[in-house]
Amino acid sequence: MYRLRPAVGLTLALALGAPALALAQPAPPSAPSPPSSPTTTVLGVVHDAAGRPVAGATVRSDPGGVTATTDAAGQFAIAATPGELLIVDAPGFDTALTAVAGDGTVDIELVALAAVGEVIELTDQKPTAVAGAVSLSREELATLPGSGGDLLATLDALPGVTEASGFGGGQGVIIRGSSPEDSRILLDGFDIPQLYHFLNRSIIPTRAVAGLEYLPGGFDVRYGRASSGIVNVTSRGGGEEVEGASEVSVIDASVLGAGPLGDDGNILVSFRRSYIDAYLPSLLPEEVGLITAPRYYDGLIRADWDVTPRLRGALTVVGSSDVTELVAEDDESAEENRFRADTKFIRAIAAGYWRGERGLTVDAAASVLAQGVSFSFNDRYLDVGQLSLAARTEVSQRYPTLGGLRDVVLRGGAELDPRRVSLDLQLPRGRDEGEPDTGMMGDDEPLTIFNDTIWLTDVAAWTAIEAGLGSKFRLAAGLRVDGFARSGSVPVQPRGELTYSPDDETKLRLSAGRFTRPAEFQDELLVPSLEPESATQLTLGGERKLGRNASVQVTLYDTERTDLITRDEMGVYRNQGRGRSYGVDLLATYRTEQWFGWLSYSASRSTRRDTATGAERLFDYDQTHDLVAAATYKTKNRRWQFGGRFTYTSGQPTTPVMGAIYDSDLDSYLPINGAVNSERLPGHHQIDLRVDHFWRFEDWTLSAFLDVSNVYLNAKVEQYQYSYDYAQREEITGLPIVPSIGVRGEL
Amino acid sequence: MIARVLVAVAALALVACNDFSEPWQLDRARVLAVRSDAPGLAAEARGAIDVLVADASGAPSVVAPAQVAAVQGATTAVTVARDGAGWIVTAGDAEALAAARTEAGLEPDDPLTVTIGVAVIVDGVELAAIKQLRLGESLANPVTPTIAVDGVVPTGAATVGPGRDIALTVDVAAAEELEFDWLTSTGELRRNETPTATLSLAADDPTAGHVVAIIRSDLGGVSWASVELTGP
Repeated sequence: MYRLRPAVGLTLALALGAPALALAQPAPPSAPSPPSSPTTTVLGVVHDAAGRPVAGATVRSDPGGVTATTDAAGQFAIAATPGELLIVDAPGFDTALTAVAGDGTVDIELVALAAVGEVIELTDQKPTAVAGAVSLSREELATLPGSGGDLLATLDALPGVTEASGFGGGQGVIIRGSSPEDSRILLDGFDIPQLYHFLNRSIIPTRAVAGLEYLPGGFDVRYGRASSGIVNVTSRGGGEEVEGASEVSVIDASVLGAGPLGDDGNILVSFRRSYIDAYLPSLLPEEVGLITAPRYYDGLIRADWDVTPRLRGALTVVGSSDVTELVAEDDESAEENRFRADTKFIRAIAAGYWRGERGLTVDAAASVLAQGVSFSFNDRYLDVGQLSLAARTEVSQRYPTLGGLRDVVLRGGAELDPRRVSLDLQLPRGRDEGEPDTGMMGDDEPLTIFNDTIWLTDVAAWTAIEAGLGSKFRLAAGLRVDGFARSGSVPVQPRGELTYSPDDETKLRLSAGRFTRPAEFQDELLVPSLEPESATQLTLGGERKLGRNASVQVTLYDTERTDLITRDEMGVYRNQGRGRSYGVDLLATYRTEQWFGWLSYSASRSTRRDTATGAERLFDYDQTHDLVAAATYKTKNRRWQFGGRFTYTSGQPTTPVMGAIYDSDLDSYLPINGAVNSERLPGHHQIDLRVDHFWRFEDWTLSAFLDVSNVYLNAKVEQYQYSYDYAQREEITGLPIVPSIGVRGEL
Repeated sequence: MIARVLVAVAALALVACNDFSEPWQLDRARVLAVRSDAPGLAAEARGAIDVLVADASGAPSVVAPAQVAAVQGATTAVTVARDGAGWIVTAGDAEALAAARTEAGLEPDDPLTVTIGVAVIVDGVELAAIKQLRLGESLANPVTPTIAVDGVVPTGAATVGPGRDIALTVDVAAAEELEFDWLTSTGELRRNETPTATLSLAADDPTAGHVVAIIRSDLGGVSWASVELTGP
């Protein structure tokens, strides 16, 4: 039978706005019976997720309009014809849909509204929201080998993700040949302003999330300010039982508590602090003095409560802080080099989710963000303060039939995000995409100096319709209009997707749309006239279930980018660049009680033109091949879990230095660069291993894990660095081996 | 708003290490400085061009360029010509300088500059360098420095022993307005961008070698001195 995929669809709907409900809707059932089909008595049972019967539920046939009510055993009988839809409503539960099967029996599971927003589970039955989308449960995020149990490190294993890491915080995810700023990472529908602590530990602790959804492209009109992909992280509240966990690793320690809050609510509290500051000073060279040793902490609180059976409220507060400060004496000038980094933010999200009868839903959320970013290196510095008050709402209405269409969903929404940004900087202009990176510090570069307050106000509105066209096709079409007050631009973005489901195991999706993102970086903000960058995406994807335990999906994509922000001959930013990314993503999964297998492969090519008529060159993050094969095995007694992951990635493009000219006045060398990105860094392969052991006691579980990245010490070449005169070149490599070890106790 | 965290990389640079030669090591053929006498040329003034180079052994020498050309800036306001074995740059007359200033959109008080490209042959290898000259104003190079080794100005080669630190000093006026650059073909230099550097000779370092001091002013002036080192 079909039903609303409870946890998946609704959790996304609640976290991101109701439209997810529509995307999560099942495809219409098999072809409706012709009018001459005989009416039969359909016997059915309605129960909750625990199998308990739901009495008093209303069952209505469509288009027949016959109604019935379930008895104490959850059973009902209704006159209907095979192929008709049965719509089931019950107080305290979300509406469910099912189709009348040929044998005249149906089994319907309702999802309690209170359960919404708890756990996203990846099941083989779950259709993806867009072509190439992937959902990961908390357990998968925590145990995928090589990620060290880290939420965002897991993104590296997803097809189409070139890289999901960055030193120092603030960097993003590179999806399908795009820049990091082209994609967004959201927590409960709002941007996470900082993704990483030092050492690439993600801000959001894995155990505090319900799940993660990855939309590499072709996403719904409810998402804006992104021209490539979306990563949705959904936080979780507590359950009916009291839950506690503590984890201690070599880097940090965390505690988590969750449980009911009164009769109608629940709460989760998580806190983590690093203690690398306790031993790092002993690992650094003597000449490097740590004034403030690197340390970070983060916390997350989420509380949910059911105001009424149809109205749920949720409050999420997430915050993070990173500080480090060090000093080292320069041997040559006998002067001190001082570096300081201080980043912090706190975001609070208040949301309400109302589920009316007969398919009407209203979601509304407001969020306050306060963020501070401070970096300094000697006389160069950047101080950013950001205060944001954002709000968004969405209304959707579902109709079993409308105007001859089946299972129709109409949606409309709006959002407002005014931000006050104070910017104080004295920095060299930095390296732009496509510029050679020689690893030199560029001490002689002129500094950009700016000190002012900027208002960035973004507004948006969208509307969409989704409908079944016959029994095998489903069409989604939407229109989004953004308003970027800084530049005064109002990009209109039509998007649509056609889904063809020849059978229950197969889906083909074709989507096309326009996507934009405004200028984001602090130096781009200094040019108010910059228009948003634009991308036109075309995606064709297929997905098929292979038996009960396996599935495979293949996605072809082609993205044309225009109005890219590049510098002109005078070094001024303009919307004059072009770009194209195309490729194929493949994902195959295999899942049983004991095995979880994962095979991800991407082949792509991404190019750029710095002006409309400029020469085409490879994009900085172009990656020809990206292969990830992973497997996890649990023993039957559940005491051991073993995992392994193999990764191969093509090397990143780089611009070679062909020679150098000595500048006698500056006593430095000017590199003579070869063609931009005409060379590649060496490809990289590595194997990661993970083992977990569990000791189960009466009331709690103790577990220990060892997660080792790159077990055969094949350090990845991150870039080349050159000697002062460019006559010598060496590889800058990442850490050759990264062990993560820890213990965890859970109530 | 996304903060571009370029300065974060600076933290890594503080502790990063590599196997490259240090800029103060005289371990390959290279150009150390290009000099124009003088670095600022009034109208119709002439500047002789010579180059301080080091060969693969680290021995410094002053050579005449194999080629000189005006490559950037007010290239039409100067003439570059051979003068015997050397090269001479001659500033144009006042009218030519004024025309160049107008062409470049400069105010009468703005500096007018021209960049010359220089090619030299060292150990059979052609090396390239550039230098900027100021036109329309008379400037001089810094006074040629004198190097003191452990406080003593050597009359010939300086005798040094292994396994010790050696103080290298140049005594110049207005040192705070100048930039210093020490180089050596043996041992290890510290504080090599200050008037007083320290040369550390390890027990296994050769005591024979060369030390070079180069002094630069912020208006393109340059001068240099060198001392030959020898063992006891």
